[in-house]
Amino acid sequence: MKTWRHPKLGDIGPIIRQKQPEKVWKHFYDPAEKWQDLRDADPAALEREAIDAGCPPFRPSKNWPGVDWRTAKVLRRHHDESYGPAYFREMVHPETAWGEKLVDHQRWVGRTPGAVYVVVELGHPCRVKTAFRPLPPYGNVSGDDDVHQRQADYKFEKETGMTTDWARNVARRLEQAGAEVPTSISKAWWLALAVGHARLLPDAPSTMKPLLKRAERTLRSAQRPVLDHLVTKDALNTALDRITEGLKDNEPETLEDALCALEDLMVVGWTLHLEARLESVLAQARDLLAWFPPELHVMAAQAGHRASALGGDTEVPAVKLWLEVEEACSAALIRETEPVVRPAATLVDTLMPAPAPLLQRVRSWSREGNARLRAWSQDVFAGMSVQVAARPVMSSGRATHQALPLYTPHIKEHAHCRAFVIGEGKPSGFEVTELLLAGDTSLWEFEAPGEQASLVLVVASEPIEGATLDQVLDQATKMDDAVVVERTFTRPR
Amino acid sequence: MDWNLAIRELRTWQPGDRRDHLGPAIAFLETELRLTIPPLVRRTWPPEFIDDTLREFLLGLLESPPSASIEHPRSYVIRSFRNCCIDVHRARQRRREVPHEPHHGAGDQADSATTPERELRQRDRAEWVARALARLSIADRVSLKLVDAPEWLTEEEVQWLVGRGNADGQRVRIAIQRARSSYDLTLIFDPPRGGDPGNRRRRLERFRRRRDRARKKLSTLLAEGGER
Repeated sequence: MKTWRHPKLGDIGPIIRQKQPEKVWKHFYDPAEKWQDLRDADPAALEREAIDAGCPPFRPSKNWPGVDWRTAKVLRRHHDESYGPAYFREMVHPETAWGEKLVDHQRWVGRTPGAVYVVVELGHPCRVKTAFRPLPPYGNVSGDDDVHQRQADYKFEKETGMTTDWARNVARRLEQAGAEVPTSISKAWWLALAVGHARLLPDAPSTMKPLLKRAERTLRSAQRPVLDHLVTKDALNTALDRITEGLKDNEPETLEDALCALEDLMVVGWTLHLEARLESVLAQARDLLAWFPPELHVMAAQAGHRASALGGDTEVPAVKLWLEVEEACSAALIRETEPVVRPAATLVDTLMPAPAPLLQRVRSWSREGNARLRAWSQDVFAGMSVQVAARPVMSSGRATHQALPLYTPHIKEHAHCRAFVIGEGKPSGFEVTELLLAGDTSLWEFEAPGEQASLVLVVASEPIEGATLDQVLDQATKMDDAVVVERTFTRPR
Repeated sequence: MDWNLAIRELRTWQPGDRRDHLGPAIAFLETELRLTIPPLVRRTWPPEFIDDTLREFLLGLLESPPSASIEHPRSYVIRSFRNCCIDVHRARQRRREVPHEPHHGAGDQADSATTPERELRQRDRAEWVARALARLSIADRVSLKLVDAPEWLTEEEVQWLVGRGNADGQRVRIAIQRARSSYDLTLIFDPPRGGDPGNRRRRLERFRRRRDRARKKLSTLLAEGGER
């Protein structure tokens, strides 16, 4: 795909290759965004093709699952052939409105006649960061063109502050929505949102009061079942899921959009007196925001701006949300510097257990001993292996549990040797001399994946006395030519 | 031990190798990853839950360490760990099973986070923030670090807390580590005179305002220092 020359911004290129699969999956395949209305393409059929190629189906949480390179190739083709041309055609439309983001001068946004919202990052060339058809965050949103258009207008006003100031926008929306009792979820949403914003305006003009009174009356007349659909548990959970996704992303767009969605749900919820529900969601958001990535610190300014636009009252849930974002940003930045103290590591022993004391004694054996006997020991080890048998599979598809043997082949030439295994449940050693010398058998059985066992060989030119490994080692210290060697075997995971 | 060495040890380690080769690398990674767990999470998650998450992640690293094609394993590992924790956190909130998807060694999200420019930007950012923090008053610095980054409190800052009426430096660090709520931290920042901590809500509100002021000053200093 080529670039397009914007009269002010210069050349604008499409979404970078690396991000294309994710954006196709999140936006083009989202049935609620209805990209088929903009272009002669069928996103549902293309999504089916992607699923056949191994792509997980679209999820409303927009939690990008990641795909392998083969599947990514299919999604990139969908970008190049359908999604990309669709947003480019919208972008170049002469009626597309453009504006700089209020608190981030590195990004511009475009609102197209087909209600596509395009975010562009400035550079040489400028790049489309994302392109989507915005929807209000209430549950089961219909995705009609009117809904897209209204949300695109609202988002553009909110993020660019263009056309008029915030208070005048609120007054206009209040007048529009308060004129009739809402009969649909969509109309009730816009009414409740406008009432909430009007109540929160810090310096509302005097003309706002009568409009607000009328809108509040209209809202009170709305039927409860309609209002009950505005701030549902599902909608709040989806917003939190999208915050989760945004925190994992390394670009701010996803998180910004998710936070703005939660802000709107909180303003509407606060208007409808759902404070208890909102407090619980706010607590969850706060916990998630603790993981705020320092790379996205530019959002601190936006958070401050939104908190002020909403009146700055720290008792209002939507304001609290943005203050939490501000706090999370500064905390993440402070932790970017060098810490003074470091917490102790406590897990090494559980991840890599310390060797048994007896094994330590074996490993610290420093005497070389007889070279021929040493070579013999190495030959014995060389033939050994953990036998990985084909794993029987049950009808459920789960592999059955099976112990794996440490196998020793037949030994041609014998020596005076004592062999012990130090393994699970046998820290003092389990004698396997007879088995080893008999050969062609299993010395030890590994039960769990990752389990380790060490085979200790004590070899000398004369018989070595002693009932236990400890006693055998004592005896070996008195023999000049004795060789003590060990090898650890691990059952594969 | 440093990041590059630790990752090299992970890459060359074979099951069955001696512990003395890898133990220090694992200990280093555990310490560094523990530092990335936000204090709020450390105060609210059960300690054994944090340990389990860390252990699972480290086991995953042992099984499939970052490939040699990843230029900046530090960013990669930290980002993978954070993403893993975010998923665990959200799953915990939703009380559902965590999807068993690999959090490292796969996915282009973490990959794209490890470009040289990003690594450089991270270092620039750390210096930029350190300079701004140094220009804050000690009281402002302590009020921010106490809640958000206790391991970043310098000895001078700990001694400032001692001067406020706390016992001694070591006990201050232990008390911070044991604090389970913002209220507990207010008692360290502003020890109760005569044993009476006063009204809990007022105390919390006073501390919140104190921190808000400090944060605003920090934002101003960061802005003066130029965007990173």
